[in-house]
Parts: sequence; C-alpha cells; structure tokens
Amino acid sequence: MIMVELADPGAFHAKTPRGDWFVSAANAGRLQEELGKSPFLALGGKEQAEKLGALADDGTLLYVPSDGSPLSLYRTINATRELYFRRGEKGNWVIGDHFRNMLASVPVDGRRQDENALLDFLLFIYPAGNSTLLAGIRHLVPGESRSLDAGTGEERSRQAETFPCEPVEMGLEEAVTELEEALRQAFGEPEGDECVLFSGGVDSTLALLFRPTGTTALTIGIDTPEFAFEGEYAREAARLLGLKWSLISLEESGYREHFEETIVNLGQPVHPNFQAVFLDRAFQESFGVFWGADTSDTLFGHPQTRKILDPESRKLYEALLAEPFDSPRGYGALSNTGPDFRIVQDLFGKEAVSGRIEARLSQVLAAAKVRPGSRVEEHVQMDSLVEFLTSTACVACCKRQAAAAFGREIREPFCSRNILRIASAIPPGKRFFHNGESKPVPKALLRKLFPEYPFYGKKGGSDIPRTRFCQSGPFRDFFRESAFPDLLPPRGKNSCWIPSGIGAT
Amino acid sequence: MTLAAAAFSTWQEKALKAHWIGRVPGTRVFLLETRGENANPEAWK
Repeated sequence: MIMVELADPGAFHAKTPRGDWFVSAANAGRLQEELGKSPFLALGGKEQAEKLGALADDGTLLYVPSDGSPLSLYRTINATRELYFRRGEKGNWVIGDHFRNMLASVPVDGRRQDENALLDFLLFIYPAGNSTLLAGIRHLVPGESRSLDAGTGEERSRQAETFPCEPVEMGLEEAVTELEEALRQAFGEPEGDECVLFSGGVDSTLALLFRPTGTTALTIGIDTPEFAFEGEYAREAARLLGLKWSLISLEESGYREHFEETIVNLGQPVHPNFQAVFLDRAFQESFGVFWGADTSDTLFGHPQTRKILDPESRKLYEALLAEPFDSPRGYGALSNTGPDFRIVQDLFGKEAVSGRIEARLSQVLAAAKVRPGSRVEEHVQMDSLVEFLTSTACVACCKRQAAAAFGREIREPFCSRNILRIASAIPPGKRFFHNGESKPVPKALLRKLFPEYPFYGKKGGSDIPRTRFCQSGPFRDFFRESAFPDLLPPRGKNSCWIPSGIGAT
Repeated sequence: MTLAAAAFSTWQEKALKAHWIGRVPGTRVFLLETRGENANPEAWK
C-alpha cells in the first residue's frame, strides 16, 4: 500500500485513466492542462512522467500507476519543493512533501537519527545527497528522477536534469533586459490575498516592483539592538517606494520560545540565524500567498563573492584556488560550510568530514557543469552551484514547509527555469562581481526601475549576535538545562559551553 | 557552535523524541492500493 501526504496547499492530485498524479509546481495550471490532453494520455507511464517533469517549473511529481508498475518520482533542478519517501517494515511506502509528516509517520521508538545527521548539520545545515535527518527517510535531490517498485522494493535513480550551462555568452545589458522580462513573467500570476516578504534589500524591492501597486510589504524584525539598522533600512525603502508596509517586531525576551516553536512546526532543526524564526512568525499572518526573493544572491553574486573575485582579498585563498574546481580540497568544494569547520573536524575526524564534503561534491558534479575559464572563474561557479543545489534550494524548501504548517503558500520567482538560464549565460567574470559591485545584474535592473533606491545604506542580512545571545541573551546557559545532541562526541560538550567572557563560535 | 548545537538539541528533544508530534494541520492523506491489495487503513500500522 502507498500513503501519500500533501501538506503544501498548492499541491494537487489528479486521477487519469492509468493512475494517480500528485503534483506541486510553480506552473501547476499548465501541468493540469497537460494531464487532460489526449496525446499526453496516450503515452506510456514512464514517458508521461518524463514529459511532465520537463514541462514543470520549480516542481515535484509523483505518479502511481494503477496497474502496479513502478512509481515515478521527479524533482526539477530548480524545485523549492521536497519529495520524501520511505518504505515501512511491512513494505508499505510513505511519500510526502513535509518532513514533519514523515517524522510523525514513524513510531517514536523506531526513529533513529541518520548516522551523519549531526555532522551534516554542523557542516552544511542540510543533509548531503539523498539522506535526511532520519535513517530510512530519503528525499529526491534536485534534478533527480527515481522509480520505485512498490512490490519488490527495487529502485532506480537517474539525474534527469542538470543546472543549465548556456553556451551563449550574454552581456550585462542584455542580461538586465532578459531578467526584467523573466521577472515580469514569473511575478505575473494574478493573486488576491498576498504579500511580499520584504527586507528592504535589492531582491525583495524588485519583487514589489513586479507586483500590483498596493501589495503589502511584510517585514519581520526584532528589538535586538544589533539588528536595528535592518529595520531602518526596510523602513526607508518602504517610505521611498510609498508602500503599504507592515512591520511585526518580535521581542528578544521571547526569542527562545519562538525558536523552539519554529523547530517543532517544521519537524527539523533550523539554521541558527533569525530568518527561520522570522518566517515562522510571518506565516501566521492572514495572507494566502507570500512572495519571496530567495536565490538571487546565489545566482547573481552575494557580497562574499568579492572574497575571491577581488585580486587583493583572494590572496588568502590562493592554496584552495590552485586546486582544480572539482577537487574535494578546492575552494568550491569547501565553500558553503559552517563557521565551525575546524572544530567539527577536530571532533568528528578529518576522514569523516572529508567523506561528507565528497558526498556533497559528487551530488553537485552530477547535477551541474562548470563553464571553462580561469581557476577563479571556475571556483566561483562551483561556489554558486554548491550553494544553489545543496543550500539555497533547501532553505527555500524549508520556507515552503514553514508556510504549509500554517496553511500558506510561497512563490519563489527567482528560482524559475528562465532565471537560472539567464544567470548561467552571463560570463562568470562579470556575473557575480563587476566594477567593484556584487550582484551587478539585479542591481542594474533596480537602478533602471527605481533610481531613488538607497544602494549604499547599511544592510547586513539576518545573522544573529551570537556571542551576546549565548553569554547573556536568550541562549544563556542553554546546555545547563537541555540535553546535548546524542551524536555529539563527548569532547564536543566543551565546545558548547560559553562561560561569561568567552566568545561564542 | 553553541547555537547550532542548540538548534539540533531542540529538534532532538522536542520533535524526534516527542510522542505527540503529529501531522501538519490540513495535510491531505491519500491511501492507494498496489495491484492485488485491498486498501485497508487499519492494516497500515
């Protein structure tokens, strides 16, 4: 027997003469239409799954044929949606789109952490490859197509899609025009009850410019003094745009409670910055659809890109940049790891850490190609690909699951196939950093559409003041009253203690 | 590392080991039989 659980309100079920479809995609309407067409229905089951997968934009598909032939699971390369699966003891399959549901489907005495759950969390936040936090629960990786024989348990997997690697080199001006058109299309869907998640930054401001006038800009903040400049930035951008702006401010004194609620709602641990907690609060607001602008930094260049594209600052990374782009010891492979890399290596051992780096690297190399160029250009592409395929996509999937926990939907237009294609067509030497500026293409578009935008104000993201939070803030003495992670090597307990006067890591 | 370990510890204690953690409200559940089976939700557990 097969149990399918759909938490995302935007996912749909369709019955066709040959079986059942469970679909979630940004272009759900287009796929629904295809499912009703005679030429499509005349195809074999496997061909149907491949065709619908290729048509889907930011989507996942599950096809359960009624004749007992293998199930097809499909995840597009740009999906901000998960498809988890597990086979129970009696041979039944559970397939779902929300990790909390998968966790809840396992009796509590049968829940075992995956052997790498903690190591991956400390290194990358998100589990590498098909693994998840729990042994026995797996998920599709971006671009994967998998068939499952419900009777025998036999599985086959292949990389059905890879990240685009456009042969045409696009100039920056052309890229700006193409991005404008792609965003206009991706943000063009009519919605009613909606808001834009607004930080005041370049990407969420662009998002607002592509939605109808009067769309609410929703900002979540906190009364943490170190974060005050972020709120001011959003306020100023909202004022200049003349927005309908809604600000919800959390109190730091209640932060730990919010943090715990967020993790329970998701059924997953979260990145220890403010974002996950802010989103959990945002989705309690009574909008049906929340527009986001994730991924732009990853595709077009975040400020850290400067580290290796600027000739002065790259000197620190010369040894890593001298390695080939596909080396597990190179800059690209080691990018997007947590700030505690060395501590984690000391605790778990170099071999274990290298094994996980290689597991993540092989996932990325199977799903993407790097455009040949200088070593630096190749590594900066790898950095972006590692981030997109193993971090940004996971962040967006968690965001969708956080929304689903409150019956809400998110839209992530920057993840559309068109925008991936545009990003990959820009020469890497200009795409991420140009004329002293990161993310040159989205910034040029914003200058064109909204010249008054304050580009050079202080803007820092959603990082937490770690040292103070651990020494005297909401996480003071956390491990005096809470258990350590079961998989933490005993020596690791010392790394979690932050006595007063010693900096947090 | 404290904050990351705190996030993981919170998950471990309040989700992984929690008897009461249930489905996300509003989740749609579909039970499908494979060929030759009878769909019997009672036989699921």
